[in-house]
Amino acid sequence: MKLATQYTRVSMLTSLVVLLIAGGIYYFAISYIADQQFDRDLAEELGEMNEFIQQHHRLPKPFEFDSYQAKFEPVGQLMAPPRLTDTLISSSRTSKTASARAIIAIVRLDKTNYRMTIVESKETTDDLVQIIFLITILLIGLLLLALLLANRFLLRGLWQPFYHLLDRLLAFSLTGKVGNSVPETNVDEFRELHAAINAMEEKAGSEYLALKAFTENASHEMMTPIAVITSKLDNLVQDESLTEEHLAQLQDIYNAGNKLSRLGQSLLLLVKIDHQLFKDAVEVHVELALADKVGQFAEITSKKSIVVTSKTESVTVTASPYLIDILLNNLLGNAIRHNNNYGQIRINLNKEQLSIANTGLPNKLDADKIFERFEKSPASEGTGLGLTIARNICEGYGWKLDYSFNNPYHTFTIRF
Amino acid sequence: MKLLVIEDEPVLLDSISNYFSGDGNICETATNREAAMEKIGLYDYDCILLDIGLPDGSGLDVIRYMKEVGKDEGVLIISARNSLDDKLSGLNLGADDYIVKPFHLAELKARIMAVYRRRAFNGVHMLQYEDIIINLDAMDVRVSEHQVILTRKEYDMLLYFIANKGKVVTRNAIAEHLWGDNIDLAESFDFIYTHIKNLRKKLLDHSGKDYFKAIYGIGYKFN
Repeated sequence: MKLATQYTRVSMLTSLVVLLIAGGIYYFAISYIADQQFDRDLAEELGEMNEFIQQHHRLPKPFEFDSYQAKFEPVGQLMAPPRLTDTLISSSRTSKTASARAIIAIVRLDKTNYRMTIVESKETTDDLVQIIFLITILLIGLLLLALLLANRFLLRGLWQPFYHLLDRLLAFSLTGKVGNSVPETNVDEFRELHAAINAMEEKAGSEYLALKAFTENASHEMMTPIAVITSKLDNLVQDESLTEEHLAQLQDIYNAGNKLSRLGQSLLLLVKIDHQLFKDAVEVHVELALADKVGQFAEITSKKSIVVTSKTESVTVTASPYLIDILLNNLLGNAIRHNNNYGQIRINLNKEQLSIANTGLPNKLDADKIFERFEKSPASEGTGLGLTIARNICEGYGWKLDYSFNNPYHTFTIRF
Repeated sequence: MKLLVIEDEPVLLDSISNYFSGDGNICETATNREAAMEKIGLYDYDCILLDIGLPDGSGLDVIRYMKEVGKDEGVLIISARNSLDDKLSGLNLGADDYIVKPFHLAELKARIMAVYRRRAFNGVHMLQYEDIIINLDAMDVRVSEHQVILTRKEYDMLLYFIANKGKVVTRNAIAEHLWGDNIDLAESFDFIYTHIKNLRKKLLDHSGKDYFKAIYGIGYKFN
């Protein structure tokens, strides 16, 4: 749920509750004040009645208006203090009943006690309360509507810088791509956030660059010692007094040196791809490069009796021919390396995608892991960087490299 | 053949000069730019091996200097950086070839021989080793006057072995020469065995001489 929605919801609920309570208090207060007024009126009325009875020694005539009535009934009751009560008044004319306030008092005339009831209609007051109530409801409605609109439009506007910053964070990449620029804002919080994000981007970027420079230098520095090892070995094997046992050990050292050198070259290549140092992009005919590669591997495929079937269209991409060569080399090399004898490789190339499917182990590989650095099968002789390099080459050109498994085919697909 | 090796890593320099000396080759060395320029100014060489990363400046300066003083020896650049820019600027300046560390000495020698051959026999690209005569332009191989039909890989291999005649050439070096990084070593060793078996037989059929000697577990020697 969005913050604005949440905020709107809470503020509206609070306003509603407060307004309802206020409305209730308002209603009771007005009712109370009105009742007080009636009670005063009725008490005054009673006083006037008593005065009339004192002066004229007779009861006044009972009267009956729509909103004001008085009647007298002789009762055997003793004197009691007047009491005020709520009651109903019915009008003889309209036969409509309305709420009313009454005072009941015992008056004494000629040794007879009379119960005197004076009733006064509260209809007009009720109308007033109703009007006030309606106005209050209307006000609540208006207020809520205003809150809703204000929150929706005002908050959305206020939060705009936040969404810009969020976009920028999402677009952030260590490979040096700069995210969208964020418009200036005069909200302090967002300005601080913006500054913090800028500082973070800069720091992460510079640390990443330092790390890459380190990788590059380390790989370069590695090469000369490996060259020394290899050249010393090359001289050593010339010695005719070496026994077979010695030579077998030298072979192992050679192989380790070879692995180390491949590893260094692969790491360097990764750094260069990340740096986007290959600027020799030209139009490359993928189908020709592919046919070339299949030809280069023909020796190995025929030895393993692997059947390669290709279905290709003419596709051109703008890319570095060197990187395309590496990309195809790694994908096709894997398809052969991890294939069975008498297996199959199916190559499919069209304008949208290139897919290379091969038979091999009957289990699906972990699609998340295989593209990670140094992730390889224990039996593999490779560096564990081949697929990482392939993926990074694809990313550099905005293509997508995916793995899927549909028994018995392991398929790698590049979507251009 | 007279060689000048310019390389700042003394151990590597020692290995190279050790491998190249003998067999009628003279190998001189320099460990920095100044010494290199001095030697180039004083003597003539058949081929110069030049490391780009020298302690007192870029090896490319040496090539520029050679141009200035009108020397046109064959130059083979050695670099620790497999960088296209370095390679292009080196070749544009007039270097003949470019090799990236680490390399096998056999590979280095084959490259140097190729540079030397290109320069030494102007226009006449023939190579002879005992009764094997190779026309490098037509890629035509004759043994004792008989034409021998070789596959592309057998032909490459023959040139490689002739360049490293009398030396033990490891299977690792051959694998890298023929396939680069494109193949698993174990697989390549099988192929090398097959190719050498075929090449050996083809040469043996016509010359009656077995040129190849297998060195157990590590490689072959061509004699």
